[in-house]
Amino acid sequence: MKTVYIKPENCIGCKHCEVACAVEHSETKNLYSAISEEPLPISKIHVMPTFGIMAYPGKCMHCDPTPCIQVCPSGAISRDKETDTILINEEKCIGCGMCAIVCPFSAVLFNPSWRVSVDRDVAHKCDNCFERITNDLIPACVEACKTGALGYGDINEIIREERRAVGKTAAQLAAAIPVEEKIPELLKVWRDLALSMSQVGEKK
Amino acid sequence: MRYVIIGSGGAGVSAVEAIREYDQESEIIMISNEDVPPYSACLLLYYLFDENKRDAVFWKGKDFYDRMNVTPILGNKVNKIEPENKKILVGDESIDYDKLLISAGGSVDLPSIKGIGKNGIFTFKTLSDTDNIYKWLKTQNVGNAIVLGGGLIGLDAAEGLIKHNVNVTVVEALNRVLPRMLDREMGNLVKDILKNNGVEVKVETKITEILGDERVQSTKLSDNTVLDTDMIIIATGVTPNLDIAKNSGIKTNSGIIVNEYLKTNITDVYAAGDIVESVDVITGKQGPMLLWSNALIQGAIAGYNMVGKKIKYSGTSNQTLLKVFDTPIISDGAFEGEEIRVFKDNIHKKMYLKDSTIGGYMLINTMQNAGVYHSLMISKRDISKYKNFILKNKFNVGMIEIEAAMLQEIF
Ligand SMILES: Cc1cc2nc3c(=O)[nH]c(=O)nc-3n(C[C@H](O)[C@H](O)[C@H](O)COP(=O)(O)OP(=O)(O)OC[C@H]3O[C@@H](n4cnc5c(N)ncnc54)[C@H](O)[C@@H]3O)c2cc1C
Ligand code: SF4
Ligand code: SF4
Repeated sequence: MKTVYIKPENCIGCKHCEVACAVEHSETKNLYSAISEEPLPISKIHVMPTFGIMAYPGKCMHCDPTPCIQVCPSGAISRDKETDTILINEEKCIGCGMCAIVCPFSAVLFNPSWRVSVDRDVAHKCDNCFERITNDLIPACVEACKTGALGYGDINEIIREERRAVGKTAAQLAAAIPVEEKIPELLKVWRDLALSMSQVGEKK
Repeated sequence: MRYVIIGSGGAGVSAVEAIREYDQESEIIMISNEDVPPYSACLLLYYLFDENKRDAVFWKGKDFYDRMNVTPILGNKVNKIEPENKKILVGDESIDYDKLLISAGGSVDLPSIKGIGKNGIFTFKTLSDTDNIYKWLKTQNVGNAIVLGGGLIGLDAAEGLIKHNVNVTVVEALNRVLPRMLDREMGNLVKDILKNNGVEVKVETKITEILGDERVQSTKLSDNTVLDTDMIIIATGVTPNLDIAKNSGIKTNSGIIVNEYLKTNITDVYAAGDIVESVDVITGKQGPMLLWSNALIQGAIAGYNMVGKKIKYSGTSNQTLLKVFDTPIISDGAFEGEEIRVFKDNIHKKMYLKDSTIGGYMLINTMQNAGVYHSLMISKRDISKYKNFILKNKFNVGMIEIEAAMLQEIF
């Protein structure tokens, strides 16, 4: 199963993914015309400030078992078996909010949808860019992310790679070999800069 | 193999889907005393808003029985279960079962008030109740209505009637509306929302007598006022339909007693939904849960166990969401212990902490982070680190995720 994965340590909070997501899910799929659409397209990925200067791009994790499917009273949410994507049928959604209050990631937001009506709120969340992935493209947010905080790939592959990296680091530590930096150099520079900026004016 | 399911509510439907996930061949018989395709009770309000939306209540489509290869027996009541013969009795007919699910839900008990038998008195529980309300609204010149009971169903009914330009008074015996969901302070805020939208609310009040000839004409209240009344909706609470279980040797208390696999005391007989006595994992209280989400989850788990998967029901909390004139009201857990609160810009949040974990919370006019609070509460996570800002807007799930990532020493 392929999925969008998040590496929070790489996120610098630039919000490129948000813009790409909103454009991809707009009616015209074009940045310049999307901003004048009504309803204004919203992003389904949300970059949130967390501790210090750390940001976290939060989105639907396409859970299994799936709390939101289990509670939707209108049968609007379903799992696409091929891609393991959790999809919301906006026509069927009544905007009751039950999915939002059981979502452990607070991934569901409410906004009108151009597919349905401008004056009715329906549930919005990440659909893995269903149109794109079923046409062999990668999700828009992943394409937009320049730091590798978002990636797209097979979940088992990702876990395997992550394990290998951790294993390697542990082995190097044990053998007192200098450890490779996991975070890209430029990111480190940016971090240090942002950290010192965030401390400006702070009482010592 | 023949599966028999009593009741076509949320629990029954969800059990059918679970069974069909693993078993597409065996016979499934679904029996309901209502002669319609399965519908979602939570959508009845949307039908009450707009008559053209009636078809929308059939949340799994009108073709559910065909699609799922289910044989429906509709418009018929199950009268008795004979576990020793593995049979149920429907009317004069007897039907054999290999595995049986009782998901017969609950019904509204009419209180014993003088005059309760008059015309114009309704419940708001089923699709036919709602059809009947429409018939009355159309044929009678309804100007004034009373809703007895200020719980979730009562407030839904009040909001629905307001849309039909009826003057509505909600009469509630306790000191606040939504007594199962809110404390008095939060209940009062909801009362204000109702009033601002034209609903009259009388708390600590009861109906003492319903007056009129055949048709209801006026209502006498315990505060000695008499209100002109063209219809009354009784929403005093739902009690499980335990008759069939009781006369069949199935153990009951406030609901049917089941084990963690949702099996009753009798082999091959399972139960799920409003009819079951559940334990709230946060408050420890036992009783029927009466919640849609719980009915669906229990239905699915019962279904899986009926096909032979051993899946445990781990219990849930009483998390409830109600929209009152588009304002979301959320309640979860118990309201005791250390209180933290943020009341700002018409958004009201209260949370209770128990040994550094979330014990319960209430939110009015916001859904932000509700799912995060719920999962932190259920998993009993230590949240002392977030205590000072957990209710503030800046708190978000990213913090929890980053913290989890740090613990795994990704950094
Ligand atoms: C107006 C309204 C609004 C609601 N809003 C919410 C909400 O916002 N949030 C929430 O969490 N919950 C809400 N609920 C509660 C929720 O709908 C119930 O908890 C849920 O429907 C229970 O499902 P169930 O399958 O256990 O029972 P039910 O839905 O009651 O289904 C039981 C079925 O069994 C049938 N039956 C009963 N006895 C027999 C018999 N002897 N033989 C054959 N058939 C029988 C009944 O006719 C019925 O079809 C609401 C309920 C109502 C009425
Ligand atoms: S919306 Fe939330 S609960 Fe549903 S699949 Fe996505 S993350 Fe999971
Ligand atoms: S808001 Fe829409 S998708 Fe979510 S539970 Fe309600 S009807 Fe289902």
